[in-house]
Amino acid sequence: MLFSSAVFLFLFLPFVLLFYFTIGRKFPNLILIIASIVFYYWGEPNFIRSLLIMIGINYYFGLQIQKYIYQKASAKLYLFIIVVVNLGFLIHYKYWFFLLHDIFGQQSIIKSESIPLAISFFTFHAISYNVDIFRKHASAQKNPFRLLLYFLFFPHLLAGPIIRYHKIVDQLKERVIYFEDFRYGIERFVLGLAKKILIADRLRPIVDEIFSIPTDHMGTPVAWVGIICFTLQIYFDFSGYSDMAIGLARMFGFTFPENFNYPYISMSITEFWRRWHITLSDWFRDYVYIPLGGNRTYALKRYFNLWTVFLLVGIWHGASWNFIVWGIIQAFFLSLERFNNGFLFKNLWRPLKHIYALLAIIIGWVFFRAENLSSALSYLQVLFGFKNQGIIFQPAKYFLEPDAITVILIGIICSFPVASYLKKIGKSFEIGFKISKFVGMTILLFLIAIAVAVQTYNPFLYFKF
Amino acid sequence: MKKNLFNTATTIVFIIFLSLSFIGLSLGMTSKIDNTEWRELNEFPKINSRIGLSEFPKKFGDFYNDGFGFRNILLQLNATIKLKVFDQSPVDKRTIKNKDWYFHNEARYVEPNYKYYYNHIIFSDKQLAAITDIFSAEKKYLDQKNIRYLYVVVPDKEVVYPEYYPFPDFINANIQTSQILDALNKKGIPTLFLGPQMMEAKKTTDVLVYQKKDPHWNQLGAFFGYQAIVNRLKEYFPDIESLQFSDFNIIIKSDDPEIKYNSDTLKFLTDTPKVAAEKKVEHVGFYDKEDVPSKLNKINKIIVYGDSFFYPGAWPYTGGVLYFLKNNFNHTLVYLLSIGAIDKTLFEKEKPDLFIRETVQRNLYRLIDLLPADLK
Repeated sequence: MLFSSAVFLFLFLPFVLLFYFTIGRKFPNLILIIASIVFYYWGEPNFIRSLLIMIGINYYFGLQIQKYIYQKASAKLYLFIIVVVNLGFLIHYKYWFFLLHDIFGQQSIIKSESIPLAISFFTFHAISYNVDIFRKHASAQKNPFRLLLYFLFFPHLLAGPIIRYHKIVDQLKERVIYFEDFRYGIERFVLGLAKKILIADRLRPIVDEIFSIPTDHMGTPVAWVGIICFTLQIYFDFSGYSDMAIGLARMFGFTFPENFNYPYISMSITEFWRRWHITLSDWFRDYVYIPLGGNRTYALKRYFNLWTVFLLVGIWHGASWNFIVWGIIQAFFLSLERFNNGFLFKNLWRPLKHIYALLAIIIGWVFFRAENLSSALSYLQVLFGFKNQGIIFQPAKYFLEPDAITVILIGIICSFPVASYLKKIGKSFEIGFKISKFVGMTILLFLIAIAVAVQTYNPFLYFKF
Repeated sequence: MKKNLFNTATTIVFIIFLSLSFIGLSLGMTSKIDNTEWRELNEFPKINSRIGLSEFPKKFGDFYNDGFGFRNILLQLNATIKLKVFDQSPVDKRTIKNKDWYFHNEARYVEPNYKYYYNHIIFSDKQLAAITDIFSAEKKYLDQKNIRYLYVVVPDKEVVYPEYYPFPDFINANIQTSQILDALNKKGIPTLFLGPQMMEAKKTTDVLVYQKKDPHWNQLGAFFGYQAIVNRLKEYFPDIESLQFSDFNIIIKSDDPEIKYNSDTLKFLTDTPKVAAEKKVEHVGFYDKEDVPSKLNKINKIIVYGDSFFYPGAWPYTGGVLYFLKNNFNHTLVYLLSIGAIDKTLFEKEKPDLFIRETVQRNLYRLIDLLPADLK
């Protein structure tokens, strides 16, 4: 079930809020667990049993690690086993086909229909939980329902943010919801919904259409429209989802960490990764990069660690060569920026730094979005005018209908920290600012309701006759 | 909880939003009465042996999406915003707008399998050979049965009126069409592409031959198409005559006909019909004079496999060629099937004198549907 679907907005969420704030006051976690199971079952009915079993296994191993916490070797063995089990679970469902087919060349193997929803996020939560116990950052959860809620809580279940166990353990036990928090949760949720449904979802068909054109028939301006739209789409889609998760969680009394901080204003890829999918970067830093030795080692090893982490970041995003290359591109630019203490970039003019960062990001997104490696390379050739083309299928303006241009402009403006700037101004005119915010939110909700209806509009294709 | 006006107002607005569907349903504002999408609405799924528990969420989601409260009103609001604020097609998934002209937007919904756009696809030599083989086999069968055959291709609206199409330089439909027709002609398959006739008709009259807000020709366009077909049929049936303008009372309407295919989302675009003669109008009504059909020298039977350009009343306000062509035959059998194998049992039973297959240009790419998987 997607947060932006009619079923979620007009059926699931109203009932969950109603139950939570009425009969659920005595059993708030129970209500949230039931809601989360329904939420997951709705999108992945055939996988819920496996997920519950995995949670049970993690519960058991967490307790064992806790039990042997002062017998390092035993605790380490339990940790090792549960990490292997969790990774094995992930590899089985997500990477098995890629490993056998693409790496080991077994052409006869058949791809399973789909990868179970949320499996990557689940694995990271599970590893975080056990490692945190091992590192004594938190104690094992004795109450299985609280652990169930940690893993299954529907706001973060499908697309994060990745919640570190030790940061949320107290909230699983008890939380107080202030009206102010609830209102903030609503605002954040509506903002995220608007980002997702009004911006990302409007750009999606343009991106899909452009990336389906054979590159032999695609003009350079069209390729730029496609990649600019995708750059905006992926940011507003993902950050919108994170905003919705943060907002929903706040309505139920949880405080989730921030996941995005205007990544496109970055002046380097290093800065980009401090602003993009922050909880993922933090996770890899704490659970992979630092254990590998981090920065406190000799130069060559540092680069090795960096490349290892970003290779894994790439693979985490998907089982294909595209994502691996995308990860390698990130590692390449990060290495370049670190090379010789960053002398290449130190004295670069600020606007040039922005241009460099954006180009590096965009090149990466081509690999992220394209169907396969050769399509990505061809797309890049078209993008930079290095490809001889035949008949061009469409002009760029074909894709730029007036509403799309409006959305692109709004998207570009909102990629800058306009909201923070408005907040600063707003402090001097508190009442006016609050009223504007309220009116703005009401308008957004109105537009969102229309957009939700439009996504269900499915005219019969009678033209086929 | 610390309450204040701002928190309360925000919460109330959000609750209203979440309750929108319930409010709409309780006021009877559902899609059930007025389906605007020309399809069956999804029904509430009953769990049984056919629909298992695991399929329920998807089926229920489809049902709910079709019927939540205020859905139709919200869709109309979207159409209004698209049209009035952005001056673009209210249904941009399907149509593309340029001033007050709407064009069919094939690229937007072409099936993912095709990966091409209809007006750019170039058939490979192997595909062409396979397609012509299929047509040749069909022709051979019909020849054995002494049934005459004609393959008619109707031009796309943007080919006849490129000046109104937003991207006239990107219309390449004729490349594909001539590729197919040349290949068929070389194999002796009788074909008739109505493009030149429609371009000529467009020059000879002040009245439009296609509709502005619909991809089809109007009755005038269909009439010109009809005359061209009858002229071609004289090769087979020398005595066949075509109807003339003088055979009809013709009423020209200056406004657009009410457009049903986009239904409510476009309803507000239409005006009350007025009857008046104006230049460059698009809706033309032909009304039979009582004695017209009897004067024609009739052929016994025709079978037509065609689409909405031929079939009268297949879709509202479509100017169907058969409205006129039926007058030349004692029996007319029509099948809405422009691409697909002929039903030999039908032909054995009906024994027609003539078989016409008709396809609109934009659907020519679908000929690859007829080919085996390795040639698609």
